[in-house]
Amino acid sequence: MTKHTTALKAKNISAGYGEQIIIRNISLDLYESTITTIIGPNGCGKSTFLKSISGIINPIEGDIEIYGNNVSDLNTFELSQIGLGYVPQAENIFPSLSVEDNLKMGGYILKIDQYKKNLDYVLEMFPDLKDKLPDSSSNLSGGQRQMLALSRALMLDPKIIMLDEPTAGLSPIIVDEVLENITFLKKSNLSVLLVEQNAKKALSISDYGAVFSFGKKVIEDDASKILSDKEISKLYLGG
Amino acid sequence: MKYIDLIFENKTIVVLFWIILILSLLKPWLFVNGVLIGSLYALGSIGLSLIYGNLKFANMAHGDFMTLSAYVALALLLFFFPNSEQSASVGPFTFKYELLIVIPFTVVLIGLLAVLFDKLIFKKLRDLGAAPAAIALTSLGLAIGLRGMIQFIWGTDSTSFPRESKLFWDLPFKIKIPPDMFFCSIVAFVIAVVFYFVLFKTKLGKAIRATSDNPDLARITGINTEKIILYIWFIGGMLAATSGILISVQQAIITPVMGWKILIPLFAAVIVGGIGNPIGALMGGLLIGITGELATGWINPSYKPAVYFLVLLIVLLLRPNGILGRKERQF
Amino acid sequence: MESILYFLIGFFIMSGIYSVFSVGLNIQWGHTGLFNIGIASFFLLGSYTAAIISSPSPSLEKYEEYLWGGNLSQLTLIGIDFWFPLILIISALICVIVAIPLALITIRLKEDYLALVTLGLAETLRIIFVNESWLANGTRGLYSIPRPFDLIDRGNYDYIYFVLVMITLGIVYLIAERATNSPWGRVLRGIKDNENTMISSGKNVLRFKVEAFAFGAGIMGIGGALFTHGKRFIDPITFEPMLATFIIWSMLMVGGSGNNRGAVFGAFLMWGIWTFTQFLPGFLSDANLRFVFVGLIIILFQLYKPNGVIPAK
Repeated sequence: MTKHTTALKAKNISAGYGEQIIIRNISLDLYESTITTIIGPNGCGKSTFLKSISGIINPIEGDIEIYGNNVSDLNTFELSQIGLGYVPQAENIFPSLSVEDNLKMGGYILKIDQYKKNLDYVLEMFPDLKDKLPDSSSNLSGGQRQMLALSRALMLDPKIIMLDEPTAGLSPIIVDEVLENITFLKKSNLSVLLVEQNAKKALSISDYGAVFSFGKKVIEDDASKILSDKEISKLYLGG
Repeated sequence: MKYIDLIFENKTIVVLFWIILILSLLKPWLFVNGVLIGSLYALGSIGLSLIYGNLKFANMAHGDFMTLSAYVALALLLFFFPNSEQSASVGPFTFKYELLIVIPFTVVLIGLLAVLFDKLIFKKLRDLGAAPAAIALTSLGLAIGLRGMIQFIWGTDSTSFPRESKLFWDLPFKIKIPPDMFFCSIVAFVIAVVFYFVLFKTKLGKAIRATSDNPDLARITGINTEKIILYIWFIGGMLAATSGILISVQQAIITPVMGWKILIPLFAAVIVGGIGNPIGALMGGLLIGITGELATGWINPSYKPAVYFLVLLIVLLLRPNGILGRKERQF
Repeated sequence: MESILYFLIGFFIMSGIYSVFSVGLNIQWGHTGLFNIGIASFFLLGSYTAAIISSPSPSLEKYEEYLWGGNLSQLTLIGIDFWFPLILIISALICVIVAIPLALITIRLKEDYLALVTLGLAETLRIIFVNESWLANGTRGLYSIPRPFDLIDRGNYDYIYFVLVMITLGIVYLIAERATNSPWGRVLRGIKDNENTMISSGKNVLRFKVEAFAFGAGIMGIGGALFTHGKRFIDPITFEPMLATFIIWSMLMVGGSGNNRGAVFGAFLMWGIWTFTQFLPGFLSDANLRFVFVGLIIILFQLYKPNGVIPAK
C-alpha cells in the first residue's frame, strides 16, 4: 500500500454536549484522495465526531490538523474557507431560500468569476438541479435535497469533505447514485470522510473504514479487510 | 393571490375585516389617518421584526433606540445649525432643510450604536447560550438604562424639532392630511421597499435569511455569522432611528417615553405580520394604525393603547403565527 | 433622632412590601422562567382592590366621582381590626382571577409573548383607572384609606404597620418556601431548566406554568394591598413602570433569582440604594441616574451573575 499524504488528522478528540461526554480519545487519519467510512450503531458518536472536527461542537480535548497544519483554534466558517467541506445529516439546506440561493450561499465568499465557474461544475455533476434553480428548496424530494446539500458544499471547492449519512432515508436506487457520486468525488482528488448506516454499501466504495462503538474507535483498517472479516460482519454489518 | 386565501381561512378574521371596512367607510378620514400613522409604525416594526425574526428575541430596547435617535438628531441639529429656528422650512412641510442633513448622520450613528450594544451585551449572552426570555430581559435593562440616560441628559420635559406650522391639506370626505404625515409615510414606504429588496434580492439579505434559518449550517457554508449579526443590528438600528425621527417630526413632539409607549403597537404589528416577515410587518403596522385611528371615532381616544393591546391579544388568540403565517400553534 | 428613626421605619415598611413583590416575581421567573414585565398590573389590581374595599363610600362634600367604597373598616361583624387579612386575601384572589386567563392565552405560545401581554395589560389597566372615574376616582385617586389595627396615636402608627408588614412578609415567605420546596415546586424548577424533559415525562407543563403565574400574581396582589394601607393614598400614576415593575426586576436580579431569601435580600438592597442615593451630593442624586442604575443592574447581572448574589440552596 502506497503511503498517502494525510489530508485530515484528528488526534485524541473527546467531545460531548454539556455534561455528557459522547466521544473519548478518538484519533483518525484521513488520507488524500481516499474515502474513509465510519460505521457503528446509533448513538456511538459518529455525528458528534464530525461536528467536533468542523467546530460546531467545541472538543473538550484533542487537536485537528489539515495537511499538517494545526487548525484546532479555527472556528467553523474559517475551516470552511480553508477547504473543509461538511454536509450535516439533517437540516443541511436553507429551506427559506431557493435552490439557486442555497448554492449562492455555498459560494458566499467567492468572487463572481469563481462562483460562476464552480456553479457550472456543480450543475454539470448534478444536471437535475439546473431546472430547479429558481424553485424553493423546501419543495425538493429527499434525494434532490441531498444532491443540493452536497452541491452546496462543493461550491467552495473543498479539499476535504465530510458527509454525515448522505443516504439516510433514500430509496436503494438513489442510494447507489449518491455513493456513485461520492466515488466520483474521490477521483477529483477530494478526500472524503463518510459516516454511514448503509455500512456494507458504503464500505464497498471506500478505501478505509473505522468502526465506532460507545464513543470509542474500536477498529480502523482497510475497508476490504473490514468487509471480509466475519466477526465484524456479525457485530456491525448485520451478518 | 396566495396571501388573500391564507388570511381569509379563518371566519373571525373575515368578520373583523368587514368591521374595519364598514367603519372606514363611515369615517374615511380616520382610515386615512390610520394608514399614514400606520406606515410610521410599519417602519418601526420592520426593524423590530428583523431583529426578532433573525436574532430570535424580543428587543425591548427598540423603542428607546427610536427615542434616542430623535434626541440625537435634535442635538446635532442645534449644535451644527444653531440658527435653524430662523431658517426656511421645506416646502409644505414643517421641518427645516437642516434636519434633512442631520438625519442620515443620526441614522448611521444609531446603527453603529446598536452594533456596539451587540458587541458589549448581546453577543456575550449568545455565547452563554442564554434563553430568549433572558436576552429579552437584558434588553429591558438596556431600555431602562437608555431612558434614564436620555432623561439625565435632556430632562423629562418634552421638546421638538424647530418647526414652522403649516396648513393641512383639505381633501373631500372631511379628510385632512398634515403634509408632514404624508411625507413621512412616503419615506416609510420607500424605505420598506428598499429594505425588502435588500433582504430578498441581495447576497447580504440572503445570508441574513440563511443565518436565521440555521446558524450552524450558515457557518458550515463559510458565512461569518457574527458579522452577519452585526449587519442585522446595524440595519435594525438604522430602521429604528429613521422611524423615531420621522415619528417625532410627524407628531411635532419629542419625549423621553415616546419610544417605550409605542412598543406595544410595534410588537403587535410584528406579531400580526408574522415575526421576521418584513412585508408582514408593513401590513401589520398599517393594520394597527388603521384599527387604532378608527377606534377613536367611537370610543375615548385615550384608550388607543388599550385598542392596540386588544389587537395583540386577538392575534395571539387566533393567529399567533401572524396573519400571513399558518394556523398552527408554535411551541 | 426620632425623625430619623421614623424615616428608617418607613424605609423598612417599603422594603418589606417590595420583598413581597420580589418573592412573587421569583415564583414566576426565578422558579418557572415566566417573563412578566407587567408586575404593575398586579400591583395596581391588588392596591386598588384593597383601596376600593376599605375606603369609605363617596361623600358629596369631597366631590368624589367614584361609585362605591367598601367601607370594610366599618364592619364590626368580624371584629374591629380583622378586616385587614380579609383584604389581603381578596386582593390576592382578584389578581389570581385576572392572571389565569392571561396565562392561558399566552403561555402556550412563545415565552416572550407573556412579556408583551403583561406589559400591555399594565398600560391598559392604568388607562382604565384614569378614565373611568366611577371606578376609583380617576386621577384624583383614593385617599381616605383607613389604617388597620389603628390602636395608637397617629404619630407612632408606622411602628404598628411595620410589624404588620413584617408579619405578612413572613407568612408569604413561608408559604412561598413551602410551595417551592414541594413536589410542585420541583416540577417548576424542572420546567425552567429543561422544559422538553418535563414534557416528555408526561407533565402537563401548561397547567404548572399557569399555576405558577397565578400564584405569583396572587402574592403580588398582597403586596399591592400592603402598599395601599401603608401609603394610604393611591392614584393611577403611582403604578408607572419604573417603581411598579422595573425596580422589582432589579431586586430579584441582585438578590438571586431562584430563591426566596435572595428575593427579600434584593428588595432591601435595591430599595436601600434607591432611597439613600437621594442623599448623594450634586447630580449623583438625580432620579434619572437611578433609572440608569436599575437598567445597568439588570444587564450586568444577566451577563455575569444570572443567579444573583445569594446562591440558590
